[in-house]
Amino acid sequence: MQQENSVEKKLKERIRDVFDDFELVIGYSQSKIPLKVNPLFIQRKEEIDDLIFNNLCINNLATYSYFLSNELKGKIGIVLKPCDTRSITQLISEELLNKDRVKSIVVGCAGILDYKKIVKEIGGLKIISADIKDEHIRIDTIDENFTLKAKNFYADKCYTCNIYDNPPYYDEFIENDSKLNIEPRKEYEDLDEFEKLSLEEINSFWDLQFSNCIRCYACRNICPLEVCRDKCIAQLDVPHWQSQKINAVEGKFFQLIRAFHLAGRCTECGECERVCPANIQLLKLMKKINKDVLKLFNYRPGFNLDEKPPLLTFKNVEKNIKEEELI
Amino acid sequence: MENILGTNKDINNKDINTNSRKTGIKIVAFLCNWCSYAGADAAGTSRLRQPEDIRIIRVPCSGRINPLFVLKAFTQGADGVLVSGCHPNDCHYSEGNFYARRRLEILKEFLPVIGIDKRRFSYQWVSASEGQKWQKVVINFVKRIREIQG
Amino acid sequence: MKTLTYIKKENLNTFLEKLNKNYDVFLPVQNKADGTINFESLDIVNDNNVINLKEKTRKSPKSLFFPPSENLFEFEYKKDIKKPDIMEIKLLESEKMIPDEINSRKKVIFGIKPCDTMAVKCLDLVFGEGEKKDPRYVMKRENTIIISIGCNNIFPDCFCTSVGGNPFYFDHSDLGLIDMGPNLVIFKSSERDDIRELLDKSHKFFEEREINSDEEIEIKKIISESEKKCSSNWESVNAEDIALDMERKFSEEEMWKNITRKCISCAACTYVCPACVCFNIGDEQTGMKGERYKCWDFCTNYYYTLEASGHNPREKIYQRYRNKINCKYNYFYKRNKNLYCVGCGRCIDVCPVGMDIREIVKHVRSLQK
Repeated sequence: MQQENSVEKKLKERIRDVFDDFELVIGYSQSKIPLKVNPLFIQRKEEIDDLIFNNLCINNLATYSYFLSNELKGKIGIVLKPCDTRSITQLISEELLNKDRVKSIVVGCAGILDYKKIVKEIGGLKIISADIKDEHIRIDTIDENFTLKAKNFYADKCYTCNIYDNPPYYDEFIENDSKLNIEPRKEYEDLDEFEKLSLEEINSFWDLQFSNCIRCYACRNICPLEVCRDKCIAQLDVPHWQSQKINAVEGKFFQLIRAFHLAGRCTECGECERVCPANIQLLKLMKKINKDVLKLFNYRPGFNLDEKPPLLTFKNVEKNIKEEELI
Repeated sequence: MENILGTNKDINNKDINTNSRKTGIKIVAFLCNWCSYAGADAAGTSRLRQPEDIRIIRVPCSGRINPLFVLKAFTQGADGVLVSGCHPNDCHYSEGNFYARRRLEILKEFLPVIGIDKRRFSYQWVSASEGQKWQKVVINFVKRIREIQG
Repeated sequence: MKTLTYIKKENLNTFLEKLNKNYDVFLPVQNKADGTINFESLDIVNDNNVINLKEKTRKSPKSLFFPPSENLFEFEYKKDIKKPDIMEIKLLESEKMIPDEINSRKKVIFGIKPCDTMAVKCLDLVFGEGEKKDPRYVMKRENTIIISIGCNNIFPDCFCTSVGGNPFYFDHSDLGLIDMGPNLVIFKSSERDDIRELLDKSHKFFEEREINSDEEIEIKKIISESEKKCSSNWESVNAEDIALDMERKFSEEEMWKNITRKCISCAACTYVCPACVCFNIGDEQTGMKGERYKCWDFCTNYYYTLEASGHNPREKIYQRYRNKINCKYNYFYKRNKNLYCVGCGRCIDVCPVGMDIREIVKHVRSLQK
């Protein structure tokens, strides 16, 4: 679909140089489905040629880090964007990952396109083929053709990103000549708007969103920080937190379990929202808790290897918590 | 700090003589065993009259409380949830209530985003000798819930 | 075909609304907010939810026969003070679910595609035939009329012809329609009494005349073009051969590990698949009352084969995925003489990491990796 760009060349060269140290390298490769990419697991040097890196590489490959580092004995290298590195940093700061076992090969990012936004723009039609050239996306569907301006369809997280060329943590850094060039937005702007709605509106919003939930657990399994997927309390009978019935109430309660499991740990990579088959806006819940953690404890997950997550520690006097008195 | 009611003059019999069968309100209270539960007990033995809408669940420490307990109570139909523990710096297990304070503050701010009124939840610190404080907390909390219910 | 019975597309909405008065009509409805299409009741169609008969639905119509969650019955424990050592269990008839009334309502599923009707056959073989039948399923099935529309448009992830299907396969539908521009033409009509009754009641919407040779040629052309496009999406799979291949390659653990490395073992592919039939039955109780429900289950789940001792024969993801593929292309074929994959491509569309079932099966069949 596209020719090899300069950052891909640099990435492949670097990986070829260091390949012998690693048992496995994870990167991106071309997918048959238009506008999507596949994770690629490289175990032999020849497979490095299949690597790509472009503005469609939205998957967060840090999901595989915890489970592969437990399964394999040698070192694992993962190709990451700077926003994904936050997940690795958070896992290391919680001592779930050994930083000598998993090496981050971070590539400077020029922004990534959001597949769901593009599909929504063309009215939900199935994409037969697509092409990206000169900042324009050309799409063919059964009856119609579309041409979209790429810079309107970047992922939400790109508009508030300021680490696209200086990641918080890396073992190898590959610089990208093209830089992110879109108008920045204020952090948590959409959440502020959402909080202004009345309680009835919020309730009917969530009822509508969760009416399509099929409890597939894709959101939980794709999250890099949910290492508990084989031991999840939502699937246990004793203690009975949740019914196994598939309906809106149970779907919503499962997200509340997830929100509190990720409280103060979520790095807002957005994968949960991307993979949801029912298009539920899950990230709002995680962002709300992150916003409060930032306000109360001045902590952002995934930036500092040595800082302890705020809900795992405490202070005798909390400056920012104003408790209410009921007398 | 919010003061819901000012002085004792504002408490009248209408606020105290209630129970779930009359009002239909269900309030769940999670009390820590060493301070708040003993405090509620002290309120009882001193014959301090309170509304009977609340149902108490005893936990060893306020730090035992998973925010999901509160959310599950709301999902199952509770109209209000009250959590009470030892005063900070005075926890029977030294640090439990420090963790609780952080978690429950996050929970309190989170409730509006999922459609639950923030005023339906409150966490307090009531010690074993504060029977009167417990009485006031219960009366005011139940009154607040009744106002929300309309 | 001698005669051409057809309904003009401009009269379709009125026909469906009239049908909705005597039957519950379900059809593909697109939510304009995000573009997804699912099978919904005609009642929710409005400005924001429009009918879309061309594109594929995200979720399959199996939820109309095999709902994600269904209550089987309610029970209550009763104790008699005079006999404290005896606990009686009583089954309740509660108003919120009177199963026979719900299941015996007459339904029409309109606009279902031939691949999904083949999947209905897969469900029939499991729930509706043999010694043990699910009585609610049988009742739902007997009271449902399936009106299918053939596929003029083939998408890149369709491969029904490779697994023994056809874009104009109407054997499992009660009425099969072909889209011929301004009209929907009846290609096949079952002789059942309730179909005749439906056609009689709606006779003013359907026109009938003799077919002319141009139209016959056009119908043949539509069918053969779709067949050709669909066959180019994947090679043809002979069911007997694939079952043997799966059996032979079962113990090649390294191969299975390598091709399933990406999988995150969620339930997305299982739950949107029209032919996946696994379910779970559980009891839930609060106080003295409880209910027994039946809900979907997914074999890619760690808990699916977890035993009470703590041992799990399918502990790793590649073992569970291997089981899923074998289930569809091997075990069910041997048992029911039917492949349990109908080539709809929904799993490929919805997979978070891009697992393609065609690639997996191809890997297993080829001699090299």
